[in-house]
Amino acid sequence: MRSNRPLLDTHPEFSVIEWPTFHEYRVENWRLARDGSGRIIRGAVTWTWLDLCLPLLISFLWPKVGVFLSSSCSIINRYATIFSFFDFTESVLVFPALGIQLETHCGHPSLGPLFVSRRFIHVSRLEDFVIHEGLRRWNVRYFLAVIKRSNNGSILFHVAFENILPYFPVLLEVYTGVQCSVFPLQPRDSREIP
Amino acid sequence: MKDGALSIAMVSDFFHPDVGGVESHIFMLSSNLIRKGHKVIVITHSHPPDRVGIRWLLPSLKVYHIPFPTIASSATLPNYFTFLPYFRTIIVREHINLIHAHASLSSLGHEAILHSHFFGVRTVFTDHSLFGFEDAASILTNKLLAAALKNVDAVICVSHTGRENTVLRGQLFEASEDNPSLSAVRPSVYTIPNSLVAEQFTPSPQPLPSDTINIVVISRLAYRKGIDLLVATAPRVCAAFPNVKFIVGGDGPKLNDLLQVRERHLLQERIELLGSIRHRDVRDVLIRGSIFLNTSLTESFGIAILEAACTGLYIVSTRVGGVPEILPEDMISFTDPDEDDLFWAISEAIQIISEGKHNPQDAHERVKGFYDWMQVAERTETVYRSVMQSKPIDLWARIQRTMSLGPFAGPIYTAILFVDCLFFMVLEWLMPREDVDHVHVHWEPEVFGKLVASMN
Repeated sequence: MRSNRPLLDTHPEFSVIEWPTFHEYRVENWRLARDGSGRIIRGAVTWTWLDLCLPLLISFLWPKVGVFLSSSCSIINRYATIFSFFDFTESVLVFPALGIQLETHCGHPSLGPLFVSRRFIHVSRLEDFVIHEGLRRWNVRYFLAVIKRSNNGSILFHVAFENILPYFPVLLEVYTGVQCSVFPLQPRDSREIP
Repeated sequence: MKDGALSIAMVSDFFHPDVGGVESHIFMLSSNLIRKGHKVIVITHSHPPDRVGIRWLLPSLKVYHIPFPTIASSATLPNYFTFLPYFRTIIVREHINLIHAHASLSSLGHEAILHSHFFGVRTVFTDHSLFGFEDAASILTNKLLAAALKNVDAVICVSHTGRENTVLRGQLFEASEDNPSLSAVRPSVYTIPNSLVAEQFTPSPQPLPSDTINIVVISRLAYRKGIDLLVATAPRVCAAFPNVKFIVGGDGPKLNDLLQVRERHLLQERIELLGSIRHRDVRDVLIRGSIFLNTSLTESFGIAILEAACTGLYIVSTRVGGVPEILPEDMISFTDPDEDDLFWAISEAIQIISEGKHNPQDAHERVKGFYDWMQVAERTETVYRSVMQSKPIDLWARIQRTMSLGPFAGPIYTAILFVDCLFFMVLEWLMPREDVDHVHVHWEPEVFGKLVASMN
């Protein structure tokens, strides 16, 4: 098992691990600040729809147990969400001639992975593996998509690195790696990098 | 990208998959600008369920479909601030130099012009239609237009009549430099006509049978297209000329009137109603006729007339708007929007066709040379270059110009400008520029060339 970080200067959270029968492209939930200062930014705890229930919860608890207790309950509740206590990493595993697996590991750094979710796409179902851009809230982000053809011929797609959403240089490395292993006879990528 | 190539964003509510003059103008202009080496993207609203997000159109045209709901015929509401976050991200990540907004009824276009100064991006606006001054809808949209055009760098109109109309509606005049008490039209208002793809509108190689003369009408069946005139005149023409038939394509609110007149005068054999026609089938309908009739009450350019003339038909049209500017006198008979005059003009056209004085092939050869999309792109590029070289309007001048809109509109729009600046500052803090996922690769036009070559 060999591990290597191809983009050490700009994206050290990305590592390529070569296991005996497959490769793993792993992205951890932190990144360097993109203003060049070298500061590390932990995966931001983003607001979700559940957080809208916070004021609702406070409004119910307030008359019963008083303002201090209700707000502290809510705040503890908020920060006890899974993504702040647990740390997670996401990977794309490439099994040459077999398929691709998308994994999300939730765990604590010292305890190892506690919850893992995996999605395997067999090479016969795999239509393509592409980088595309999408609108996400007010932002436009690049993402990696696995395009899968299901049994009845309809097309579905799954997003790799769905929660972390790394930046384009990382996606490009994963894309070229997967294209070379899984689609070795395809013509070269049509996008040219200046 | 080579030197001097610009990154242009076309912003409009009206884009494909809707079909229309503005939509095809934006697409053809973008394609030709890409051929000249510029990078072009299009920003428009989404058409759920499938036209959402970011899509590519050939040739290498990226389209951003922003999730805004539409209110009427593909136009969105003028929410001045909700567009800013999307606009900011797109302009920053694509490294855009210039915004080209289209259509006076497009709120996305107006807002793009409003937000452009935060990014140092220059603006150009193209107006495609003529509007009145008297009715309530026109008064409101004219005021919105005047507010948007106060701070735009250049305005392009599709005909000289359109230019006059836009200058008056948008109040594009300022104190002249020689004599400040006089107003002069801004020098940055240009006229660049539309064009058509002549290869798509070729006449039929076989001549039409000479016993029947078909008059083709293809338009949206609405009031402003003058369908009432057609309804009044068609029975008279059918009575006076037994060998004349009408072929009417298109759909709209006035379809019932046409059906009623057909029933009343028993003209089922003489007036054929085809319903809605797709753009690619228009030529097949046109080659069935010898005369094309346009009865519009207002028309800024008249691309349908041009397409019919290119297909070899003789044109009869109302003398409104920009129609007199598009074709030479011998290819078109003009009439006032009046029944008797229209009847007289149609009679003249029927006589010309019966005597064989109009040759479709010659007409096609002539019209082919009149308009070309590459020329339109070159002229637009000249406008872009002059805009890029001119001095940008700084914030204080912008505020003063906005305040000069009027005693009520001025302060309202200045307040909008201030809040916009504050919202922009909040966005700069919330979504810093270094965290934007910048675009580093774009579809190279050479790849498209190779693709086309490999297909042949």
